[in-house]
Amino acid sequence: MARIEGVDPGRAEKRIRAVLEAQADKWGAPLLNHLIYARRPSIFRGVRGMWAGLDTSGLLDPRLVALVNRRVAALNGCVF
Amino acid sequence: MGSELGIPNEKILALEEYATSPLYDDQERVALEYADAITLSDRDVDEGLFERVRGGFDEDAVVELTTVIAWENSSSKFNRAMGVPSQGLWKRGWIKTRRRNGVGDEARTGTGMRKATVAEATERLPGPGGERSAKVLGHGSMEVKIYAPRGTDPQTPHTRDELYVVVSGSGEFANGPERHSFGPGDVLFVPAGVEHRFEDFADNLVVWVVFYGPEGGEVDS
Repeated sequence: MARIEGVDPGRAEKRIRAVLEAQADKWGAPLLNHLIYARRPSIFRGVRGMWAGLDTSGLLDPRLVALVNRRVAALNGCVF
Repeated sequence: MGSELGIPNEKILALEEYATSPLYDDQERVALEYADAITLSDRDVDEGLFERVRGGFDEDAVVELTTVIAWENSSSKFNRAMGVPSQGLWKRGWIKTRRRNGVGDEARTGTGMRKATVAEATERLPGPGGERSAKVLGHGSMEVKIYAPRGTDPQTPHTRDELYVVVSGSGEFANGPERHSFGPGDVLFVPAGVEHRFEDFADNLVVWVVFYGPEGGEVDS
């Protein structure tokens, strides 16, 4: 349980709900940090925009990006 | 996540040892060293490192790489502060593979073993790629390795708390801002994320290494 409870996906606004449902299809559940971001819809949209921008920039091998993200997250004590 | 992209499990498991593991190429090593320097508060990106990053990536790719690292810092620090628990996204594919691998995998990783001897462990060194460390046994979050660097100790900070038990050899140990002389039987503790290395050590240095606890280490209570 996170320190602050996330939103109920069923009560999120339509576009946010669509993103959370897509995560549930892919991972089996919405990403928990996104449920918290969704408490502030403008922040949720900004966060998703950043991820989308990085995903579509496309200069780096996605495998290298995954390893870099894994390393940084681990150094910060975050295991996703 | 990694498995879905086709990253071998062995490579993911060797991420802490990217600087010395033969599973990583030069471009990956410099990108990960760059990530370490940006992320760790006691490190910085000096001109030498930045030039090596430029040598591995064109300028547009450096912008993308830097943003990836900075953004992952933002995301992971948010998760840490909020206490967002792991959803096991990396481990899912890994566990499936381990189950498929069966008994042979168990022997390789030391899962289920309750005793290890120095003689048996040092027989595993050097590894097939010249590695100077090898996993010996593990249980839950605990992982025991044997480590016997020769000449220099090229290791980078680890993501979990770590204990060294010196089997043989003596020398100096740089441990964040501290420096210790050590000898056989000594125990050295290194919190997660702290830069450390053996220096001026004898060529018979052998240590047990114990990693334990969560990624990012535990808070001293």
